[in-house]
Amino acid sequence: MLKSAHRGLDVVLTALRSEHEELRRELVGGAPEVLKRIGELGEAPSDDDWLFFPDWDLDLGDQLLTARLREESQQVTDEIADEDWRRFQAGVDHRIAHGTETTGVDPLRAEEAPLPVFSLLVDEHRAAVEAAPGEWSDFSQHAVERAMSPGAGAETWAVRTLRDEVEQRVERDTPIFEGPFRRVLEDRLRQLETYEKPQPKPWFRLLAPRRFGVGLAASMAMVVCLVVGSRLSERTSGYMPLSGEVSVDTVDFEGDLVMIPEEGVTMVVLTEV
Amino acid sequence: MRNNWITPGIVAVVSLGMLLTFLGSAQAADEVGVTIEIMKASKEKTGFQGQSKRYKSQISRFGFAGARLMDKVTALGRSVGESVELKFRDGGGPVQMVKVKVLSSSAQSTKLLVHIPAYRFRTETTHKNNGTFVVFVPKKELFLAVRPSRQ
Repeated sequence: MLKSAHRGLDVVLTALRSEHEELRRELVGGAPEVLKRIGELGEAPSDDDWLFFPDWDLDLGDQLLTARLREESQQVTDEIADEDWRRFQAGVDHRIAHGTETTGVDPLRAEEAPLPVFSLLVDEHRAAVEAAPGEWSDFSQHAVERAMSPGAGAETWAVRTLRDEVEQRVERDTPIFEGPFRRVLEDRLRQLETYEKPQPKPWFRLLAPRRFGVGLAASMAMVVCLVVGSRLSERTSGYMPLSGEVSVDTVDFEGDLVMIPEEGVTMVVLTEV
Repeated sequence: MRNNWITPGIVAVVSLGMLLTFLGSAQAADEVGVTIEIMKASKEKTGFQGQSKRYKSQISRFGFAGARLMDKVTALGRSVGESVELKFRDGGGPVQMVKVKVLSSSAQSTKLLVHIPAYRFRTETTHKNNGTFVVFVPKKELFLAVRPSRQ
């Protein structure tokens, strides 16, 4: 019973992991993609959008980039691969370096450069999504609060973009997250409650511990029967040792012969045939 | 109720077996079984196959490393004067024959006449306790064994 319960629980957990993975793909498809696109822009400083950065025209950049990022994020639904995240991080690093060259702002100081904060939020976001789906809402709220906190370089274009995206996704994804996931969980629990241990086939019962002794005894009995039967077959088919006596009374043969009397058998060798 | 036929069935089978045994013992007083075996020996290491294993020691002493049973006949219930025959081929030659005739039979011994016409060989043998008589033909690598069987 305990084994069957474990087996059923494994089935449920496997199904839940699969469902969880699918839900996570849907949930993380938006905001991380926005961040990735920002990173790609960071990799291409010659892009028209990038030209706003040297002047730190935050208002204009915010409008243009936000519109573009929102449009692109709607087209992406697949999971963000690790490679994309590495590219994004490389883009952030590039932007930090580029921003340092052009503006002279120390990227390590969060108060003056929003991008390290941005990167930190990305890392936290990624960790939270991978940790558990139930923490998604908490993280999103935390990210919003973090983005709006005074010491995090708030009110820059990037942080505002992130904040908006997070707010949208929390508002849009929370019911999706709770609804289907909870239904799946309830379905699986119902399956577990009604799970019945499958009955093994008759031949398979021999492998069960309680039946193993019976099967072993039957096998040994069969082997004994085969051995005895084989012995009896040998005896009845002429394998018994030669016994008895034989005497040759008369011989009529024109050629030479040799007679070899032994116990149980007498041989005559016809040498000239 | 459904198994009521088992007990009478067992009784009937046992009774039939006892009757057959009694009839068989009554006939066995003057009847004898005769077995003729023909084996082909080989110098090659083919091993002793089947019932030729019984004659392994006799065959091996002539330098053979293996043998196989070519043919065998066992005739039961032969009375005095009746014969048993077994035909065989020695290599690619014509069909030969071994003929065994029961000359006398008693509880103590059995007298047989063994005749192989092709070899112009004829002998009378007395067998006690089912002893075996073997004719070995070296050029043909043949072993012909004859033995009576009385229970």
